[in-house]
This record gives sequence, structure tokens and C-alpha cells, in this order.
Amino acid sequence: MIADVHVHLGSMASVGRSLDAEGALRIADKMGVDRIFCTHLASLFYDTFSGDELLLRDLKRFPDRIWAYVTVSSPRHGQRMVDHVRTFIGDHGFHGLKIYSHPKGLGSPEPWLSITDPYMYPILETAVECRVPVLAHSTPAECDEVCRLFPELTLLMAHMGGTAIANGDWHTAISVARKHPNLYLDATSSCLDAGMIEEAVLHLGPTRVVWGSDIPLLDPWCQIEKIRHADLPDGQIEQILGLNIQRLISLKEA
Amino acid sequence: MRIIDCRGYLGHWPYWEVPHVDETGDGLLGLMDRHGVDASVVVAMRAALYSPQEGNELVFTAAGKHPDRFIPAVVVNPKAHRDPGAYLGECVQRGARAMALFPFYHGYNLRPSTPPLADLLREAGRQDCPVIVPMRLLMNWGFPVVPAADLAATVEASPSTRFVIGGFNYGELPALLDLAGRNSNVWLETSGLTMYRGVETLAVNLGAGRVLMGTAMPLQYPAPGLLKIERADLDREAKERILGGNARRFFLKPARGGEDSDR
Repeated sequence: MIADVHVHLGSMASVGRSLDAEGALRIADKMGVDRIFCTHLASLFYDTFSGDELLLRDLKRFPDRIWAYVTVSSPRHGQRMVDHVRTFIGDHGFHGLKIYSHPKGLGSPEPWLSITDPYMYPILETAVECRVPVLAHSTPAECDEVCRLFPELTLLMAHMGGTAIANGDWHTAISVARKHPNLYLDATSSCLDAGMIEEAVLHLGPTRVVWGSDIPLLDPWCQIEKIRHADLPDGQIEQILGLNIQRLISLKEA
Repeated sequence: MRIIDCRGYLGHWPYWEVPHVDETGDGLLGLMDRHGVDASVVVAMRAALYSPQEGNELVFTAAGKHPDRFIPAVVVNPKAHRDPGAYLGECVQRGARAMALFPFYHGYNLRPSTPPLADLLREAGRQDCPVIVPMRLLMNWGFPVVPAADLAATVEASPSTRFVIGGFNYGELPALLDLAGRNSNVWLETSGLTMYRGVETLAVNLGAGRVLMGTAMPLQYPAPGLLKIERADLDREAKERILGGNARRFFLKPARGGEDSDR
């Protein structure tokens, strides 16, 4: 069972590219991927509420291939966002949350936003209550704070530090994850540093690492091959490629 | 088909633990064998980060031991020699097939107004020695990026010198496509490129003949660097050119007036 935890549907204006569900599944088929865990880019960069409706349509069309993240574009929508999360997880069968931190600087055109913003707390509490994972495009320091505040939350650190906002520092991501058994590392990243997957498994065990493609931003082959060719036993690679996220998804139903 | 990696490193990595690194090239050779890479353009990390002359000697030693597997690329610091062009000439005489520049680590800017640099690049053109510029040491966001504007100015000031630009990713790509589109002396190397349909973008915009495969092994996982080309939506001929055909013609072309070196 292979599952990609990091797929975007819709248009990515910053790189002038778009991908619909059919296109994403065609790529998944080529790669032998059974499930894709998706956000909708309209939710991420424009309007969560209508964007998630688009993703809901795709989820209904491909219920056996797609898992869906509710996107929290900003917690500053207050109770409306909390209600939205609860409805899409509870009533519409979404499987997790995606939260994107916008740091200051680095050319980000968005206003500052962090997963550590106290406005986010009711949303994270809802994720705990619904037993769904949160994929956080956030720094190791932000994830450290969230895990300290919400030890029962299942948090996936998107890119395991391999972003500009985290200075590509996957070692710190691993160090932080060692402190928090509820923190998982999503290895999706432009970083292809030899040994990074093995180092994560050495310190966290094979159950705490997942992978994703980040299509349509990144080349999916780069992402899956760095897992497949990591110097790890086949059974551990299978865990990373799909069994780990499958287990986390199943917590909601348990 | 011969597969030639246009970005290989010899030597230690000071920043974190990496498997298969050593100064002899044996570790790199083992990885090349495992991944079906026939030859690699090698630069010494010692030359980039510590002493160009000492590092270049390691490259010559490794290439002397494995002449069919390692294509030596020397590092020249234009600030560290009384006559950097003469040093490059000596290296070319000893078999160097390319020169790599690491401006961040050698205390200069990659601008044509940097006096010794302009002379060195002219000499590289005269020697028909390609110049490799890794925009990043490897594709990790913790490393600085050579400014594309500096690079463009330098390339355009050296029209008779061939440049291989690598270590870039989607952020730098539009500027590089523009630069390579305007300057036929620029080739782009793929080791840093992780973007969706990135290889196809290079081939469509520049032609497959201007694209060179690089992995940055052993510092980066080799398989992604190879598989993104194998799996690209390109015809077999284009893939073969990118995987090695272009590099063979580019780095192993005969010295002026000599025979083709098809090693």
C-alpha cells in the first residue's frame, strides 16, 4: 500500500501550474501510488470554504483513491473556521487538516501566520477531538511548541525542515521529533541530501516518517525514489511509503 | 548508452554525516556502480572549501587511477593565484576537463567587474575549458544561491567561454532559461532541479542538447537525479543525450586539433 501524503489540486499561481484530480491520479498510477492525500490550492491561497467544497466533489468521485485535508488558510476566521473544520471532518469525511505557516520575510506575499498563533488553538483542539492528523507547513520550532501544547495531537511536519523558512535544517526537525512522540516527519522536500531518511529512521524509528510528492510543485519521482533507495530494510520502506499514514488515518475510525 | 554524471564530489563533507564520502573516490565509484553511472565529472570538496590546489591534486590522483570513470574538474580561486589563468593552463595540460567556481567559499562575487575573474574566464575560453558554476553547493535551502543577475552579467561578458550552471531549482529557473536562451554558451545541469516537469521544461525551452544530467552524489541521493530523467516525458533520444550523450561531447571533446576521446 503506497500513499502520498502531500498532493495539491487546483492552480498554483506562483509557478503557473495546475492539476486536477484526474491528472493527479494519472501520476499516481504511473508511480504505483494507491492513495493521494490532497489539499485544494484554492483553499490554501484563496478561500478555504469554497475551495474545500471543490475538494469534496473530488473526494466523492474518487473515494477509494483520495484522502482529503481540510485547509486552514487562516485561523483568524474564528469560529467560522472551527465550524468548517468540524463539518468537513465530521460530516463530509475529510481525513486531516493542512496548515500553512507564513513567516515574515523570504519574499512571502502573505501576512504573517503561524500554527502557533493562539487563534489556532480551537482548531487544533478540534483536530485532537476528531483524531485526525494535521499536516503543518511549519518550522521545527513551531512544531515543537504545538506538540508541547497539544501532546495528543498527531502532527506531521511537512518537508521535515527542508524548506526555506526552516533553512533546510532536517537535523533540527529530527531533534524536535525525538522530543515528541506525536510528531511525524513528512520527507517531501527539494532536499535530496543523502542519508536524511536513514538519519530520521535511526532516531525516530520507521513508524514516524511519511512521504509525499508535492505535485504539482515538485517532481514526484525525486520524492519517491529518495525513499525507495534509502539504505533501509524493505519493510521499513513500506512503512514510510504508506503503512504509517494508513495507520494514522485509521485512528479517526477507531 | 554511457551515463555521465556532470556533478560528482570527492572528499569530506563538514556539515553532517554522509555515507560514501572519501578523498580517494572509492566511495563515489561504488555508488556510481550501484546506479549504473559510467563516468562522473568530479570536483574535490577540499578544493571548494579549503585549498583548491590540494583538492585538485586529489582529483588528478583519482582520475589517474580511474581514467575511464572520473572526468577531472579543477577549482580555481581567482583571488588566490598571482596568475590564475596560468594555473588553469597547467591544470588543463594535466588533464583537467573543466573548471568549477565557488565564489561564496573563496571570497569574491561572480561579477565580470571582479578583475581576476574576468581574465580567468577569458583564459578558460581560450583553453576551451568549460566553467562549472554550482549556484548552490547542493539543493538544500540552508545554502546561499549565486545571484542570477551576477551570473548573467558574467556569462554575457565571456561569450567565448562555455558555462555549465547547476544547483538551481524552480526559483532560479525563469532567469536561467532566459539567460541560456540568449546565450548559446550556457548549458544547464540538473542536480538541483526538483520541480515538477523540470527536465521537460529545460528540454522544451532549450533543446535536449543543452541539458546535462547531474546527481551531486554522494552528497545527494543518486536515484532521484537519474530517475527524474528516465521518467521524464521525453523521447528516448532526448533522454540519452541528457543522461550522457551531451556530456561526452561536451567534456570529452578532443583538445583542439586532437582525436575524439570516447572514454
